[in-house]
Amino acid sequence: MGPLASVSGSIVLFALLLKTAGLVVACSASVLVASLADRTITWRGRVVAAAVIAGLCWLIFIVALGMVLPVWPWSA
Amino acid sequence: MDIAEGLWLGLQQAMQPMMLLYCFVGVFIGTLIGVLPGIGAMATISLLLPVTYHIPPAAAIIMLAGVYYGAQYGGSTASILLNLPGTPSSAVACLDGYPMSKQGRAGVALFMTTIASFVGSMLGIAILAGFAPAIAELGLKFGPAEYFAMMLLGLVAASTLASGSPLKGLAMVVLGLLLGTVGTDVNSGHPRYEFGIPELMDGINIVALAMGLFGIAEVVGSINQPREGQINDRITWRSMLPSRADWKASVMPMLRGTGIGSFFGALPGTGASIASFMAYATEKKIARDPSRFGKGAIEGVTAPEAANNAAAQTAFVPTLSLGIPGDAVMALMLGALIIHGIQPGPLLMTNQPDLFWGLIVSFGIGNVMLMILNLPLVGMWVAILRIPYSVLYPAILVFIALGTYSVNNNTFDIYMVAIIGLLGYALAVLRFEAAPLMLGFVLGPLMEENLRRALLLSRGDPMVFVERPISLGFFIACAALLGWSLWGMARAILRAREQALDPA
Repeated sequence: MGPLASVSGSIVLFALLLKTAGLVVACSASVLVASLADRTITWRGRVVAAAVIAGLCWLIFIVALGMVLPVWPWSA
Repeated sequence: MDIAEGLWLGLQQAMQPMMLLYCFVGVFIGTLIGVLPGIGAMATISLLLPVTYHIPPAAAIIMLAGVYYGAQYGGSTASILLNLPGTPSSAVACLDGYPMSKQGRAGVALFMTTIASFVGSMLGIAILAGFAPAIAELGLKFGPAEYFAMMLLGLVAASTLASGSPLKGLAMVVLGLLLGTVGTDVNSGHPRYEFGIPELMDGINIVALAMGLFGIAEVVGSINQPREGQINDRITWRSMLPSRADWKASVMPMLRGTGIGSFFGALPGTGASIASFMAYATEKKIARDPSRFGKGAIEGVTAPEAANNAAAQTAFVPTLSLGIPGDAVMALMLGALIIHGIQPGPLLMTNQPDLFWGLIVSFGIGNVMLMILNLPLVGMWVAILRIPYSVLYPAILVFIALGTYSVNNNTFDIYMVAIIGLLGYALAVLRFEAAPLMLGFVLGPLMEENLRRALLLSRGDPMVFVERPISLGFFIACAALLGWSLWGMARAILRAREQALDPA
């Protein structure tokens, strides 16, 4: 039950936060919630993963693919 | 246009720099996701679908196809090194590949599977080039009644021949058909099953469906799975070269695997996974010493690998020449073709021969690229497998969410992924196959169109399906398949009852 809840929770959270809080916040929150299911990762690992993945998403989707999305909460 | 002319035309198409570039990107990404357990061709093609809107249709299909057959190369890498299949069809490679790597022969296993994949692919492409035009000719005689009957056969075959109970498979097909009706009816403009939600007017987003059904369930299942063994030994060039005995032992399994794979790939409803299992079973049955299997027999890796690659190539035969997808990934590819305005079917070869033949030649080029990617560069893939899954799967989830969003730029689709993900997980837990659902979803609207057209032409007379000979033939085949699976179920029930009554 745990993995299912955190996986679906992270997707729903992403959908909620994307337009209102921007890409970076949505990505980071999603990663943090998703990684709750994993028992082997430390909190520091989670935060680092969140930062790296948010950065990757920004690179791939905003810079490379040119999607129109708010990046930060204040750019919404 | 005969085959030689076609291939020459295709060569001119496929050698253009843009096509080569997208071919390379496709096979590279394909190998990458094939190597990584937990993300497969289905998820990746759905993710790349929105990206392909910005590039010309031929390049898009070349790239997506490259992902599809490229994944069949990379899948065995994780199976051999980690005992974890990278793609469903390479699960069989774990059985003999992992013992081989325990014996220090990982390099040889990786080398031979690449060769086997290449042989399987190239022969599969030859069959594709040879048979597809002939089948398309036949397809030109098809009217809407025949198309309907053939799609029906495809769906029945998918549910009865695939793994799992045929009844469950049929139930999934029907569910897929139902989900396909959501949206605005093409003929009358009436909204159907929209519940007043405007975002559903175009139907359920196919990417959201694919991601939810296959991606989410797979990720959930793979978290917290122990990754057996660490990759300790370095794979050097010398350790990869197989001995003469290895070569000798592998030639016939590769050829047999290719034959089996080509057959199952072209059949609607069965694909690379079944092909690889059947190839393994065949090798074990005809081996002189079956006890070697499971302990590092090289036939146990080369035959299935040749089979799944051949199947991946021949799966394009029904898809391109008749417009009938062979499995769920082909269904998605069909959806991609339609989105790009390409109507697959017998007319494709006559209307757009450059696309068809360009695609086939690009398969050949792609396989050559894959040989280069997989042999000398195998170290790169091994390094990637060292990334811990804990970091990988949140990234996959975010990519899924963003990719789905990018199709229609609305967050509703992301919610759909979550909801369908729950459905997909429930289905997986209850042992329902999701692939027939996908097939039903893609084929449903097409079937409905053909059904209505056939009835329109026959002035509402349903007997048209049995009056026309080809259509009748398909219906008989459907009845035969259904009858055969019913009989199989009846036998199983009777046998169980016998055993219960007579425990001796």
